[in-house]
Amino acid sequence: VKERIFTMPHCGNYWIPFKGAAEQLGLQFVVPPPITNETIALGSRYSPEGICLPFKVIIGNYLQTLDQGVNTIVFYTNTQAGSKTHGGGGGGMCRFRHYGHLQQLVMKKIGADVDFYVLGEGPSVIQQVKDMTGRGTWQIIRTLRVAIKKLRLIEIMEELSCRYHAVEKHRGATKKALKKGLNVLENTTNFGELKRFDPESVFAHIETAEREPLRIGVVGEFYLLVEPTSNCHIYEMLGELGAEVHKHLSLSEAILRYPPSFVLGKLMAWWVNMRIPPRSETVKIAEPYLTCSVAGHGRESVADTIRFFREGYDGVLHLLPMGCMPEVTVRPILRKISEDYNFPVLSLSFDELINEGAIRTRIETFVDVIRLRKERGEGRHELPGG
Amino acid sequence: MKIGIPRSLFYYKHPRLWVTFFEALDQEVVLSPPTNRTLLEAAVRYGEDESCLAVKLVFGHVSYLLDKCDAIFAPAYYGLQPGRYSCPKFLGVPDISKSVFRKEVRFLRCEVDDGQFEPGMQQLARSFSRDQQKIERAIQHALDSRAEYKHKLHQEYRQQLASEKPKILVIGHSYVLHDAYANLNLLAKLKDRGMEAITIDTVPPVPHECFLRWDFAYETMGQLQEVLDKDIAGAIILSNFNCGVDAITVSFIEYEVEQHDIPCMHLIFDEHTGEAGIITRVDTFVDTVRMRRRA
Repeated sequence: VKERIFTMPHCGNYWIPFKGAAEQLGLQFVVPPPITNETIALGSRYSPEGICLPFKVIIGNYLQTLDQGVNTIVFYTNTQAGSKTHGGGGGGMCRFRHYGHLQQLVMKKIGADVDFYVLGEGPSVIQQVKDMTGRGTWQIIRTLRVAIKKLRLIEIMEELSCRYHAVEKHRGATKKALKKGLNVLENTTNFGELKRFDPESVFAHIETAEREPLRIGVVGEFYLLVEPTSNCHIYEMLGELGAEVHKHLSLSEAILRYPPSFVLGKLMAWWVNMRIPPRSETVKIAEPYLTCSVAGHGRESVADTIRFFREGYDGVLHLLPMGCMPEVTVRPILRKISEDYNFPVLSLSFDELINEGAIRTRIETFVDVIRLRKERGEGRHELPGG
Repeated sequence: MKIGIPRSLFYYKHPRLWVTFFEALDQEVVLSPPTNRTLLEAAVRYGEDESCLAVKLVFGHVSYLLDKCDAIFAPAYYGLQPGRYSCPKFLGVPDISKSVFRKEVRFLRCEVDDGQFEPGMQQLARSFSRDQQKIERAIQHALDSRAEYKHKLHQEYRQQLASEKPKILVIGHSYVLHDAYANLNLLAKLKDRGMEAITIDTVPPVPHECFLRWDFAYETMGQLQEVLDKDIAGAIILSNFNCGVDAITVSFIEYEVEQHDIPCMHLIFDEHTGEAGIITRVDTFVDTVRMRRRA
């Protein structure tokens, strides 16, 4: 029997729970090296030209782990959840559903000898993990519980770090604190300890300046939202400019909105103690602009832009990989919302050729514009067009 | 009522179906003209810049129809086969038109899911007529015309297979294959060079298992099984720049074609209309095919 060495593509800081879970289940696991321009270039060279950026980065991840002896790749795409009428990443019409198959084809064409476990493609994720690891259901559920809790704590810390970053007195203090917090999580495997872990305490010592930050909502494609190297570290840029950022989606939210199964969905919601807006509410908010699902999180982008407006945010950033099917479709709608509500929305699309300088210029301009608007107290319409 | 049908996207898939349906219900149908310079310019103006050319062209055609009819027809094709689905960009057309043209545009919808046309047609027809018999007749008439069109295509396919000329298989969405202006007259160019261009939509579908979920992709993979064993001299894949579906399916199609040792070329179209580049590539491809046949 050949010894399996596993890997999983990068996705923000989420490698921490994945790695933890793999080790708890007794797997040999390699974390891909951090994403650099080289990773992206490598992935783009072997991927189909027209595919979206996340795919290219993922292929780059795989290729960079091959020399560490990786022979098995784990990927998650949820084809059971979501549907034609509801959207959702893996189950709907979005290209994400076919990622698993296309990755296998690309790796085959390259000639890499790797096996794939595409979780979520079969009827039961738990069963797939059982086949993969040879462990019992109970142990898998216990591991999953720790992983999901960790994942949520990471998200909360990231959210908090965005808030502190915008008002920190000494540049870099928040980044350091976040790193420390992530380190603590990486070394914790006990659910009870995680439960007692207070994400606020990580940032408690940071000195903050007396200024009111701008508040910017971020909507768009999931991977671009959570993987900072794919979006040119846009949150850090915004933080330095004194703007705090709030993402409309995080991994646990994305999973909870379209859970792999009803029971798992309920369990996860209970572990992380979190409520997400019901789908019917999202549908209702988006309805004046969009009456059908356009797959992926397109409808969520529309609804959440309006939600951000109602919650008094100063502007919205829309991030998408170039050619993203759902997000490109809703882009004209976001533009219309921006006009109707007199609400700044900046849409940025990313591909493998993007450079940080161009993005920085646009972000700086965007922040200047919304700051000016705020200072002048420029009108916020309460009703569309009104 | 005057009903406008944009000559783009689904029209090329079912050119007779909807026209027959509305005419059988005594409605007047206004069809936009085949894509031309003016429509293409409108498409570039109204279309979202990262959409594929076909989706931009819909907005070009809709802009032409806006003041020429009372309502514009855009069916919601969720899926043309059980368990399959179409492209999400098509579903958004009515909603996005509202945002793009900045006015209320009346759209007629007909939802087609799992290849079931009738429920949607029933519902739509009721807004024109209360006469149930007439509705039934119109639906039957329309579905017949669709079957007839399919039959005609398959017949064409059999005739083409019998031809002596080198046969080139042209693969692509029907709205790319048959919009001659947008694909720079590719089919005619092949014909001029003495080739028999077999378009993939004429090939009878083969039922098969496939993980690809898009209608087009699923159907094409089946048709390839049927046609690649025949005497095919070369294959050309046409797609639009930034077509989301093709970004994935073309890899699989190419793989399939290469397995049969057939030369394969992938041409990508956008709104540029310069023909020089395409002529060079077609000439080269035709030469390659000829040389292989001689060898």
